[in-house]
Amino acid sequence: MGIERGGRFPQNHSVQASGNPENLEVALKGGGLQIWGEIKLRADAVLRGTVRGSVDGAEKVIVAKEAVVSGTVRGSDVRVEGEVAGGVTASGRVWIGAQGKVRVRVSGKAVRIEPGAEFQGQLEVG
Amino acid sequence: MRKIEVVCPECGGTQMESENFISTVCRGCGHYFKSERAQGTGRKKVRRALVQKRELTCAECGSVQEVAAEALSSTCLDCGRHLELGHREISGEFLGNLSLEGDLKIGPKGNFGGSRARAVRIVVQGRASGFLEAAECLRVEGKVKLRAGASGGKLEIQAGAALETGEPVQFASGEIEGELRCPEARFTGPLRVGPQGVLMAEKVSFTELTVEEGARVRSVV
Repeated sequence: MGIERGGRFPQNHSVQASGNPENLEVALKGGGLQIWGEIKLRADAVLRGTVRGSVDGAEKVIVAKEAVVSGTVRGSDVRVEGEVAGGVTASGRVWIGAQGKVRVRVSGKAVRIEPGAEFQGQLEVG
Repeated sequence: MRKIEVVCPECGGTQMESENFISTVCRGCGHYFKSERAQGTGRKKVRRALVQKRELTCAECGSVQEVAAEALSSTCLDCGRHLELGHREISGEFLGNLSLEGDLKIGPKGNFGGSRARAVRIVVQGRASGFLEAAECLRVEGKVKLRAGASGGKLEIQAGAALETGEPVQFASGEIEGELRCPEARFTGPLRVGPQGVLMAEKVSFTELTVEEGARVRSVV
């Protein structure tokens, strides 16, 4: 399905991955669940939920409004509408939406930070 | 010209006068009298041409006053500062300070060596070493090094141009197609760095940021 799980994962709960390999949506079933460890994504993905770790995407990654990632998010293009505490690194574009929050670092070939977005950290473009 | 019949207020005699007459002497009794218009009711009022005015804010004390739109200079009524209202181009060496209510252009061979220049719009093609304050827009069209900083409305750095400052810059918005190197860049509004733009600052702040592909940015937000 394009997801490789690392680290601990609470029993009796599951990660729901839907969509085709070109367009993946990763959501946590049930509120308040968390994933510990690193998520590797080989296709475009939308994250909804809390990840206590990093997200390493090979393609486009969207961190949805309700999503929180404590580690870094990597991808070809990364769009943040939720919260990323460990920084964003993209080989292409980084887009932080009006309600997005990013800490530590933003790195990419092009960056767009919308009014209302929160970003504190190092900015590296190009 | 049309004639009208007028009545002498002294003897009641009538005589013909021009319709626009202001005063006359009665041909019957010799009494001098004025027309009704000249006495007040229909009196012609001398109208002064309306002078177009504009508001002017003193760069020194900030007080606002009205001056004629065509005026080239004025004096602040509150602090007495001389205000230069026209435009100025520096094409050689200029060592004094400047405060213009118009535009300032520092030409390709110009060198502003004063400690502070203030104008509504500033275009820099040559050299400047003092603080530049452009109320509306500071446009950099050459390689400019400022010992001090710069502030104002909008900062525009053309492709191929560069601005390097020794102190922070503060503007309402920024369009960087060239190069900006400074210790701190504060934008109270949006900042855009174009595809050829370079922004190297120890610290940068903005409300909205767009960095196009091809640009280079190294900073801390």
